[in-house]
Parts: sequence; structure tokens; C-alpha cells
Amino acid sequence: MRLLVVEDEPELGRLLLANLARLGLSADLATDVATAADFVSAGGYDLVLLDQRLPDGNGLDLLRRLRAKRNETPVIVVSAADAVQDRVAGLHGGADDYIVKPFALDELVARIRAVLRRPGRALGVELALGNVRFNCVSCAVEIDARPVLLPRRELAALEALMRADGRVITRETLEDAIYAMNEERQSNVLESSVSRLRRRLAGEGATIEIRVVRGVGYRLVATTAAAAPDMAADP
Amino acid sequence: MTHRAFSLERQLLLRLSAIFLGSFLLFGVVYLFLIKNDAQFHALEEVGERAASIGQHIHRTADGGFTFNAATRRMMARQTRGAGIAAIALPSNRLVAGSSAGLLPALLNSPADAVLNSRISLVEDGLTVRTVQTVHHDGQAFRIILQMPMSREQIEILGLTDEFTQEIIPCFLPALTLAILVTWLTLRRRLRPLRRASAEAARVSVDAPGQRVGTDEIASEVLPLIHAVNQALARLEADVAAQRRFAANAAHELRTPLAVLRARVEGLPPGEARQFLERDIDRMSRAVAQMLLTARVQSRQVGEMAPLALVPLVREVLADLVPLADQTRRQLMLEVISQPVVRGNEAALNSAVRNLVENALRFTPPGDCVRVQVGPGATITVEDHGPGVSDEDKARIFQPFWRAEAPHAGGAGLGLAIVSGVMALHDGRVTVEDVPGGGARFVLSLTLTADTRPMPRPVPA
Repeated sequence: MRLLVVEDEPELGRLLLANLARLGLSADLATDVATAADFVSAGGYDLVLLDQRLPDGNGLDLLRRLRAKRNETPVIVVSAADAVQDRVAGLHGGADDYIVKPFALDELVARIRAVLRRPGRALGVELALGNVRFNCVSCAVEIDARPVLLPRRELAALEALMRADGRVITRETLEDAIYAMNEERQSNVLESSVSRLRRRLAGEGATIEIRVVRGVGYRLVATTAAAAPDMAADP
Repeated sequence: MTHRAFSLERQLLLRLSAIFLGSFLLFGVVYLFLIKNDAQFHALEEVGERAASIGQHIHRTADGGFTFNAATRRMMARQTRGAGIAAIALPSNRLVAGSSAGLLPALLNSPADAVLNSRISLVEDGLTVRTVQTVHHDGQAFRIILQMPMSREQIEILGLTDEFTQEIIPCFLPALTLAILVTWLTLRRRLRPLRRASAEAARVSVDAPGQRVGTDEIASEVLPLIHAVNQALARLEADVAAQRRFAANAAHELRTPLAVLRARVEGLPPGEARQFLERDIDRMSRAVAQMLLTARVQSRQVGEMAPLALVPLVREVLADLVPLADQTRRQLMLEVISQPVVRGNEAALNSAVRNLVENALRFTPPGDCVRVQVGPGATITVEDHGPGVSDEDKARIFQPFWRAEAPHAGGAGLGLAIVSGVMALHDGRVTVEDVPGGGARFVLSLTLTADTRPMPRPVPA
């Protein structure tokens, strides 16, 4: 897997490359729009980390040009501007995500992983937490290497929770996940689906647990001290 | 001195109308003075009319004779020197009724043509007017002879009244009405561009730059004011743009070195020093973010306002802050009382709620729970069980760079100023009150929009 870092501040670019390399991610550095455009059109990048302010133009213009040419390489826009208008401009321009400077390396890597996990992207389609594995393509669930069958809503809830990667997922987001597009929503369906899923996970001996943040939403935590899967370990 | 605004249109209309009316009156007086010599003619006319009227009111008595009506008889009884009246039935030429001893014989004995002609004779203090009118009444023809002495004043007043009612008013009233109407319409028409300009000026906002007051149809006297307003707008806009550019540049110039610093520290081998440095960078980053946000809120650069459901917004903020709560060993919970929808800017309200919850997490004791509540109405309440806010601080905490005495406060002292700025942008307000048993309760109050659902949705237990 190969990343392209587009960053005009040479020190930041160098340090980012070094830090990503320590996590097993190899990346190239482009310091202006023209170089970045050449690199991307040469192909072979799984993801571009794109700064907005560059000496010869705006990163978002490059992004728009790429998308106009049907180049769908995932792009995370990096910027010092955090006003929502900027974020919206970035996302409308075809960015897959947006991160504001200064950012923690952990957060950057988490976002890279999330973007690459989307269907058809470079990173594996299998999500794992504790002894639970979830295949995003086949929707097969394995607990402790044993296949487990889940009803539709519980399956959708588990996928959403596993994709959230330990972050809290709000009731609204989870509700969106468990209902089909035009399905009529009923009260308490979310609660009952989550509590059935919770009982099933416990019954199957899963080492993950659904925790409630009262009034806010749910999150998945590993009950054993399982380390977060290393980025480099993903196929 | 009062500063009550007056209406230019009303004042001009009133004054011009007064001027028209005044000049009309003045003209009338001058005119009357000039036509004063016509007074005798008016006097004759008046007496003639009176004689005709008297003739109309002669009626038959029971014995077959004729008599004047009661009003005429009363008038005759009052008659003064030189006055007289006689009614002569025609064609018999017989006197049927009359008054004024002394006058009648003179009248009747005068030569016929002298009697039968109206005439005016000058006497020392006025005129004596005699009129002869032939009247048909009750199937009988009468000749009425009326002679009246009139003083100069009487004659002049008579003349004035006649001139006014018969000539001046019919001629000038329409002209006066027309003049006032045209004045009013012109004023309305000419002031309309000014009203339009006011409406345009009212639409000027820093969020929609380039808005200017139009100069179409504006009167040349007002044009300099409009130009001056437009120039002031341009200068203000340039200032706001410069301030915004500064904020954007500052964002870039401050965040890039912080990003370099952060990346450098993250490349260090793990250990206590790296941990401390990362914490310091976090703190510095937060301070920079808050200052930039304050600058944006103060220059009203928060972007678009749209209908916004508060519950999902608060949930997103809390979901984001759960890791911070975990880290600091506090809990978060949300209670949903209602599902308010307000008109607002998502990012700004998000920062306001985030700042309040971060504060609460900082001040509430470890192991405790920060309780957030949405509703009733469009309110968001954040409650902690920390030291609370003393009464004298309650007014001050929303000022920029105010710091609690607590040594672990951490932030740049801008959090609550941001909250209060964001509330001001939304015509809302933030208040702080004490929690019984210790702690602070911050309440954000906003205005509901029409599409708020009244019924709360079920909340997980």
C-alpha cells in the first residue's frame, strides 16, 4: 500500500513520512499541485493526503480536476482551516474525509483506515474486534472462528458498531443503519435490536461488549485487553 | 431636546398646504379690496333677493286680504329709519300690505317710474337701497317694493360673502385641492426611492458582502448621503475582509508549526517526556483553535443558518467527547425532554455545546457524571458537580480570557466567551445557575422554529 502526501511545509512532510513509515505505511511526498498531479496521474497510490494551501494553487482544485477525470483515488484533505464552510467545500469537491492541523498521528491513521475500509478500497474488507470478525462483503460473522448467523437488523447494527472502531455511534446513525431506505420507523426497535444483539454476543462467548452512553448512543469495546489491530497487519 | 423622528413627507405636505391656503386667502382679500366698488351692486342684489323672498311668503288672510308672514312682520316691526316695504297686487295696483309710516305715502305718491325702478341713493353713513320685484305667488301677481338702509360695513360684508361664495371659492377651491394633491403625489413619488434605499441598506450584512444602496432615481440632494453610506460600507467590508484574511492566515501560520511540532514529538521514542510534550501541544492547539473560533464568531463569520435539530447535534458532540470523558474518568449522559428544531449554524452551535461539556468534564469531580439535557423547549442544559460559579463571577465568566481560580482549568479562557458569542449570533442566550448540592448548570436558550415536533421520541433506558 502506498500513500501520497501533498504538503508544502517541508519539515511537516518529512516528519509525516517518517511517522507513517514507522507504522509500516510507505508514502511519497509532493510539495506543490503540479508535482502532485504528475504523481497521481502516474497512478499506483491507494490514498492521497492533500494539503489545501500549496505554493502553486489550492489542493481542492487538484481534487476537482482528479474527480473530473474520473480518478477515484481516495483523498483526505488536510487543512489549517476548520470552518465548516471549508469542510463542506472539501467534501463537496470529492474528498473522502477532512482532517484539521494539527492532528494526532493516531487520528490520521484511524481516518486513513476508515477511508480504505470502504467497499472496493485498498484495505481488507474484514473488520475485527476481540474474537469477533465481520466480513463486509459477505456479511459473515465469526465469533472465536465459529460462524454465527444474525438477523438483518442485528447484523446491520454490528457492522455499524464495528466500523465505528470503538467510537461512540449515535442513536440516529445506528437507526439509519438498521432501517432500509424507505422502511417505516418504530419506537423501541433500536433498543430491542441492540439488546438482542448484546445477549447473542454474550451467549456466543464474544470478547466484545456493547456499551450504552445514556441518551447518546452505543459503542463496542473489547472486554479483554486486546490491542487495536495494527494497520500494517491488514492484508 | 427630543429626537423624535419627523416625517419629511408630512411636514412638507402640511407646510405647502398651509402656504397654498394662506396665499389663497391673501389673494381673496386683495381681490376683494380691488372689487370693493362693486359693493353697491351686491347690496342691490341682496335686497332684491330679500324682496323676492318676502313676496313668496305673502298669504291670504281670512277676510280675503293679504298679509306678510310672521318673520317679515317681525322684521317690519324692527325697521329703522328709511326702511319700508309694500306689496301691491297686480294688475289692480292696489296696496295689499305695507309698513313704515311716512315711507309708504312717499313711495306710493312718487311718480310711477320712480317707484317702479330699483335704485340706490347715497346717504351720509351708507346707502338706502330700494328694490322693486314682481313676484307670482298663490295665483296672484304682486309687486314688492322694499327699501332698506344699509351701513357701509353691512354692504362690505355682503360684498365679501357674495364674492367668496359665488366667485372665489368655485374658482380657487379646485385649484387649491389640485395643488395639494399634486404636492402630495410628488412627495410620495420622490420619497419612494428613499424608502427603497432604506430597505436596501437594511439588507446589508457582513455575511452577504457587496450589498450596496442603489442610487436609481435618488434626488441629487440625497445622493451624497447614499454615496457616503456606500463608501462607509465598502470600508467596513474591507475591514471585515482584512480581519477574516488575518484569521485565516493566523490559522495557517499557527497550525502548521503546531502540526510540525506534533509530528516531531510523535516521532520520539515513547516515554514520559513525549507524553508531557503531547499534552502541552494538545493544550496549545486547543488555545489556538479557540482563539481562531473567537475571531470568527466576533466577525460573524460562522456561515449559513439552517433549520437544525438539537438532539442529534448534542448527541454528536457527546459521542465525540466520550473518549475525553473516559480519559478523565468521568461519565456523560443525555436526557431528551423534547426534540427542538432551531434556526442556526451547526458548526457554531456544535462549538458552543462542546465548550460547555468540556468545561463540565474538567470541573466535575472524577467518577462523577456530567448530565446534559435537551429541552424543554429549545434549551440545552449542561450540569456538573464541580465547585460551581460564585455569584460575583456569574456576570464575568462570559468575558474573553476570564479564568477560573482553579489551577487545573487548562483552556485559554475563551470557551465561555465563544459560547456567549455563538448564542448572540443566534439571538439566544447562555445563563449559569447553581446546582443544589454544589455545581454549575449552564443553560443555552434558543428560539424554536415552527417545524419542531412536540412529542419526544423514546429514550434508551
